[in-house]
Amino acid sequence: MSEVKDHTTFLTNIDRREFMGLCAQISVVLGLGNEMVPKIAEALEAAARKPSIIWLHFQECTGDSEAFLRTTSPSVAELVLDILSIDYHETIMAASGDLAEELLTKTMKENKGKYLVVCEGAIPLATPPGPSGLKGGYLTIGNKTGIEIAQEVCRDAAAVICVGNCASYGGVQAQYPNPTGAVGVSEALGIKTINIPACPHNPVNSIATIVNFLLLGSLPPTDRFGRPLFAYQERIHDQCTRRSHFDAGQFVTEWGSEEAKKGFCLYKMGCKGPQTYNNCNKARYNDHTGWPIGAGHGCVGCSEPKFWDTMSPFYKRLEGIEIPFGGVEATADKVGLALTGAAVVGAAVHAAYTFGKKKEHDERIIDREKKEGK
Amino acid sequence: MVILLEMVKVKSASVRVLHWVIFFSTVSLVLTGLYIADPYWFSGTGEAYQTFVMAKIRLMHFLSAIALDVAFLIRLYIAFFSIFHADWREMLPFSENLREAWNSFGFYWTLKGEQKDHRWIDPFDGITFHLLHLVLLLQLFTGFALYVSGIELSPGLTGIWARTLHIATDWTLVLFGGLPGVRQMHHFTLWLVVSGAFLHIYHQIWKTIKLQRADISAIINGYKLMAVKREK
Repeated sequence: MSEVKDHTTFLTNIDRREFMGLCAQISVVLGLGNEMVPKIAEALEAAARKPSIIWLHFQECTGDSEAFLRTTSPSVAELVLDILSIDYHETIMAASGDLAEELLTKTMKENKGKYLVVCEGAIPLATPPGPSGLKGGYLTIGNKTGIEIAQEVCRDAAAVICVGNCASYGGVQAQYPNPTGAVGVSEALGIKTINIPACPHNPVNSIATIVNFLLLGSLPPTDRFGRPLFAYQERIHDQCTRRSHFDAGQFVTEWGSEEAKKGFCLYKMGCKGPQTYNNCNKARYNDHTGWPIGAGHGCVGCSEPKFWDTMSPFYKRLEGIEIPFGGVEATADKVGLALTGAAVVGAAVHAAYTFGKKKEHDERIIDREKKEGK
Repeated sequence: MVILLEMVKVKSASVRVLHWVIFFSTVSLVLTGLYIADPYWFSGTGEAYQTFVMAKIRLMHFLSAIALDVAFLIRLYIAFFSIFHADWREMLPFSENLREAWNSFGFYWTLKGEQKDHRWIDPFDGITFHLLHLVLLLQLFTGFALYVSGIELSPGLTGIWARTLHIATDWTLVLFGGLPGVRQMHHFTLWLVVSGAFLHIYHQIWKTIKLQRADISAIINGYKLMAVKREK
């Protein structure tokens, strides 16, 4: 056991049953069969391949760390921290100050090209006003800006995994007007990252990504937003427990109503499940007990890029959302109806005008038969 | 002035059939589309397994869309390779067509001057049809982008179908800002189709009454009147 590992020795061992349970769960999330469970266990147990993990915090609320540490009974977090070697994590590590920074440099040097970086939070790129303004100066840790830390640590990493919407796409702080110039890690560094968005991300997905790396030595295939396909291939809408009510045309129209109590579809309450890719219903949160729609709240689309800008207001259907039409904010329906109304009025005016007027040769048209009959 | 008129065949049977396939599928698409956007007309009663309102309406929407799109593609083929008359030239907004269409537009408001009789699609119609078809094409792409979002990229035929649609429609996601933007665009384009179709119907009725060349008859029996001789 390395010296570095000692900083996380608050962790205890877990029993075999819990360990195999986790392996089975990961196997399910990755879409592998039962026969893969022993292999997952083997991969996790292979201490030789134990990757060193550096967990970086940027502009965020630590929600993803909280989710990572607390879900699916304490054993998972313990297991992950025990099986993986989380060498640097600003929130949970015992070390602080110079010792912590020393640890970071040491980990990077010892595992050059082999360690995994987990990023949490967006990176600001704007320069704050004032004489001491540095590029990206809205976030500084130990006299270094976020972008400097990210560049330094990610340079020699085997892979960069972004957890949460902030690290993936910038999150709420990157939304209009984005005063700090916040962007996701991938955009800030111009590198390809594995993104595990959602607010917070589901730790089962990030663990599965890491296990995929341990098992195969490579990262899982992703969609065009860098999200692993095993978790982000299907829409919330297509795996929803309330889908039967959608197909039946049974909708909640008011919070707290009889329909809401019956668990009807939240489509008309602004649920963004049809626009959102994630595996919330399969993986679920809080020890696999719940997820937003299960708790009676519509999906807000938190695993999609720019979801604060494109999905809000969260309690309105997209048709009810006002979008800019050349300076005027109006719903698509309002503009469309105005257009159709203008067409009808225009036609009416045209008809009134032209039918009131006589065309010069109107009355004198005769057809061939008439003429030949003469 | 005395004008001699003659019935001439201007539209082949296939073009007429396709026109009405497009008409009825568009009506069906607008009605079902409005329901899908805001399902307020009727909602399922009883238990969820006893009713299937939204699913059936969505199925109708998809089937109508397939009918429209197939008719659209066949019409596009016919525009170039018809054995009766390939009419793609009349639908292109080229300079001469544009000038004549502008003159027609002026005539529609002033009723001054003579209108040339066109056997095929007249330039004003040609340009409006061109625009209407572009709107339908936009509806096709945004619609398929929304449709394919619910299909998994599984191996096999479904996956091939999904991948094909992704290749064909993913640009709409980039252009309109993801699925929410595409959803809104698809909904807004509905109103462009509705107002465009209204203007088209009004225009054809107006022409039939005012110009007395039986324009509407052309899309039903394929014949319209044309001046063969003008006598002062």
